[in-house]
Amino acid sequence: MELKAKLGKEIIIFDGAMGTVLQQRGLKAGDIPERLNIENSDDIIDIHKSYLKAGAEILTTNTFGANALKMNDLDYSVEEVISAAVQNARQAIIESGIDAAVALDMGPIGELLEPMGSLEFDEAYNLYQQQVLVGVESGADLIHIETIADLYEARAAVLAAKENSNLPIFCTLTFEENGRTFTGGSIRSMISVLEGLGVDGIGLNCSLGPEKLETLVEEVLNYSETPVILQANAGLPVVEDGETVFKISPEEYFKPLNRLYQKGLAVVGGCCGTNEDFISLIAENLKNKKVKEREVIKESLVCSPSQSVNLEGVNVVGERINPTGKAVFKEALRNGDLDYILKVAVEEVDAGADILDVNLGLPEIDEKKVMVKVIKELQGILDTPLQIDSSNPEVIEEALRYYNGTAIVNSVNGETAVLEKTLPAVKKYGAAVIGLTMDDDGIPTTAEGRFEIAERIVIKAAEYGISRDKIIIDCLTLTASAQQEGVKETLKALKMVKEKLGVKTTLGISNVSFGLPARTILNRTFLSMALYQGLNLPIVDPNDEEIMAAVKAAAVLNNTDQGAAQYIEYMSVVEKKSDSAEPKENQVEEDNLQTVIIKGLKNEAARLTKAALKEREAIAVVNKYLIPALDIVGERYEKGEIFLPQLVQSAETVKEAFAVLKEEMARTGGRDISKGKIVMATVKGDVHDIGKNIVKTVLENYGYQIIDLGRNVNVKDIVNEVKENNIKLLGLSALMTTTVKNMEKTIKAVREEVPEVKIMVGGAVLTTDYADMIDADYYARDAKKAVEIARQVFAE
Amino acid sequence: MKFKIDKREVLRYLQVSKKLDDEKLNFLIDKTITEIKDLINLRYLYQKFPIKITDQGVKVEGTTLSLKGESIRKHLKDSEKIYIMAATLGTQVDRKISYYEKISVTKSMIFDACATAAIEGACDYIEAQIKKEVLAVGNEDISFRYSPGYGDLGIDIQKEILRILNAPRKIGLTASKYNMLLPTKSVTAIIGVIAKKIEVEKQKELLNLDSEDDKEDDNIEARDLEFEQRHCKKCLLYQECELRRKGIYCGAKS
Repeated sequence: MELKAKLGKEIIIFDGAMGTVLQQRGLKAGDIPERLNIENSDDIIDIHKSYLKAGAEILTTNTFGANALKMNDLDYSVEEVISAAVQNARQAIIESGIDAAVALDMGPIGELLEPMGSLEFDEAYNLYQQQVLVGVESGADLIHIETIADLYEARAAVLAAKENSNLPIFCTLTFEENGRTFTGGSIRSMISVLEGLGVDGIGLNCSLGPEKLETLVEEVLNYSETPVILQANAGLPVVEDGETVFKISPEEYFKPLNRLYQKGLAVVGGCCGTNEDFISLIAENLKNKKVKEREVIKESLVCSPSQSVNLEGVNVVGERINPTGKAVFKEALRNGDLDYILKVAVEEVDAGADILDVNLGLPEIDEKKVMVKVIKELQGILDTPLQIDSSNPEVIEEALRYYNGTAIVNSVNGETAVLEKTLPAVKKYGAAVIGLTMDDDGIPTTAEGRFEIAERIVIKAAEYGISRDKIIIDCLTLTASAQQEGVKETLKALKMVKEKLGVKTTLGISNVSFGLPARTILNRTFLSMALYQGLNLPIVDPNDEEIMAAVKAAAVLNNTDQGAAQYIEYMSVVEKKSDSAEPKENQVEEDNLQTVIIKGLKNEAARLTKAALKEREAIAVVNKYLIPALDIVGERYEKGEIFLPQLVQSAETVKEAFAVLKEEMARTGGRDISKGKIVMATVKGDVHDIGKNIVKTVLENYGYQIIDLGRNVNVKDIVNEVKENNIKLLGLSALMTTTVKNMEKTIKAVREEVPEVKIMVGGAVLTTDYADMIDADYYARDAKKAVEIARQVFAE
Repeated sequence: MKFKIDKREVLRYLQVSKKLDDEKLNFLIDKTITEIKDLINLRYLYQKFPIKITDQGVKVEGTTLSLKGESIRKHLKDSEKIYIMAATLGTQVDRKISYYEKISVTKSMIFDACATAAIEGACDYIEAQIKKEVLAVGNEDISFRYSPGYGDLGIDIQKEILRILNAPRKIGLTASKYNMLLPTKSVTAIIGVIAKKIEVEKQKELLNLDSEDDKEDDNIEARDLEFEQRHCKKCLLYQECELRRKGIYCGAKS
């Protein structure tokens, strides 16, 4: 069957379930169905033949879980299992005399991917890659990725398929009734990402019957240009007499399917609980029928798995993640202090940023490595789509690979070399791209000149298959104080580009006011003028309330905020900000930093520390206020007068004080008050590290500088960090008996390369005995003990 | 939400053994309990299986699973059937914990404690449903829930338990290669079905305290000896547990 010729034009019929059919035939719960490919190939061939006779045009191989992790429990390799499976399908075709395509079936790996799980993206990719290669070798006609509940996993699988074969690729995800995957992914994001990567078929399978999935499939039909697939369950399973049964009949299954066929469904089959009767009925009615035409709403989206932003209209891009001109930010980047960057991101999102620009360009760091790390951290805690900002095409490509969603690339320009280096990655990952209207000759002075470059960019992008709805043009904001007449040209160019090229527009607003007083007023006014000319994506500081208010006001005046509803709400929230239900911290203003720490009044710490710095040096503030307060708090905790939450709250208050001290020192270059550097990491396998964070905060309180490698850290990375920074003390934490083994491995490796370093360990399952057994130097039962250990180690 | 989050449990997980004398923190805890309710996407399933107790362990009939170790044998010695259950609060809760880890140590600690109290509350709710089902039959009842990690029942069976229930596919619950349940606020447990008469006797037995096990009489007023009999006695860390000694306890599931 010529799959590609039929796809999207004539209905294609998939086979039905394999797993549930095998269970009905006696497969035990917990048994691994893939082994039957080798041990009971006759049964498998039999089931395939029944589907062929029923009218299936695609046979899916019995390889749903045939990845190396799951096949570990079998005595067969991935290669053996998959090649046997493909062979069985081929054999069924030969024996029945009915032709069909053979699809390599790949289900989810069975472990959760980072950041919510411990399986790395690259590991997932490798597992899929292995399956794809065997599938191709064995002669599969199509790659079918199904039942995926995590968009990141879908990306790994699709990329593995794309990069290791030329076969058509189908990808269907599993959604719950609420329209989300288990990991919170939305249908729009699925469409944006999978179409961006270039799958040949897209859709839904499993979890529910066709009726419950109907509205979700309709959404896919409305917004996806790719042929749409549905393989639903035969309703919801119930347990009768210890047996799992699916209750709906082939007729009941077919009804909603038929309605969806009328709306443009292209590929149909059945998932759990279906059998040849279901396929028969479908084939009787739909075989060789033409796929119905449908209207597709083309959207210009960028997204994360759970959140999508339509580039039509106005969306605010946060500009603060950028080291340029920011001493503290630069210092944080050099020290690998990702927490600082994440805090900035959270502030921007809380202030209403719709997209975050991420620029980590600093010559002293490995930009590629840090960019990937930061992106992974950001997407682990925020749903806001990202804009990848770098002048290095390699950094951009790497970032796009690991970004979970559809991103904006900032940027390309009119220079052919730049376009040719960056556009391929933009196309491959389905990103949107910003084009700057400048080239080797610089920035054209006239609007016409900038328009010409914009047009050139659009034409070049089209050569790479990048459509206009993915292109955002930046007509370049010039500084009013230096090129005053240029400001109007930018606005003129913006209007031309918007009207004549049908692309989106962006501008870095803040540039306009450089070197002039009262920058906010100039920024705000320029922003308003640009919004009127058709600006879609202002790149601004979202924490500047005046700027955000101007955006809201413009929406009213441009008639996009109907009835000014959003504006009114925004303004009432802004007014209400001081009026919260939270218990007012003592009306009598605390003016003693020590008291504030003991009481855990986090919000007062910064103000009082700044005041204290007026009279004393940073080190004196530490010794006079911070340390004594901490000692008092520690004592009360030991006595049982206060408990862990209060202890931690006080520790956090000191952390705020320290932030001010650090800023002061970055400014004045004052004496370094650090008592010593400690590397801390939670070993491989753990997903949260609250305990480690508490210890880290307390250690920092006492003046130690912590290099926090985070969690799920590789042995290699820990060894390197310790070596490169001449570390005297390493702190490791592990949560489970199983991950403690990784701790043992880490200690061994560290001892081999850096024998002098002292190692302390901590975590819920650790004991003094275990610590001795794995050759740690110290067991840090809690934060206080960790401080004692640090004091001891650094006294030497 | 069909189950409750008990603030006392939250405080217990925060290692607060008496009253928490801090207005701000109490407010924060209350706020967090409300906040987490919107993020919880409770998914669970349970299934009944006949069992056979052999020398090799407890064979779960109709499946590939065999439960090894003395403690589960003891726990199920009066049962011919078991329920295996799996439950998870979902990934959004984990995501929020990670978020707060970056924002505020205090908040992350409180949120985590609320999440643990929530999954425990959810399990109580699910267990009550199972109990209802069993009681409806007639003269049967259930024993308490027993999870991998208790006693000498290793966590290496997590993957198999999930596979038997088809949990990854049905409720998105997986186990990592380190046998950690992911999403983290999840539980798998085995509940034995017993004859009603035996349950009453057993409860009586449990409340009798073995004097030999209470070597340390310190802090005995603060401790919940019934709780210890039900849970702590089976734990690998029974001897070393600081939290038990302090009367704070953990309830942490591995």
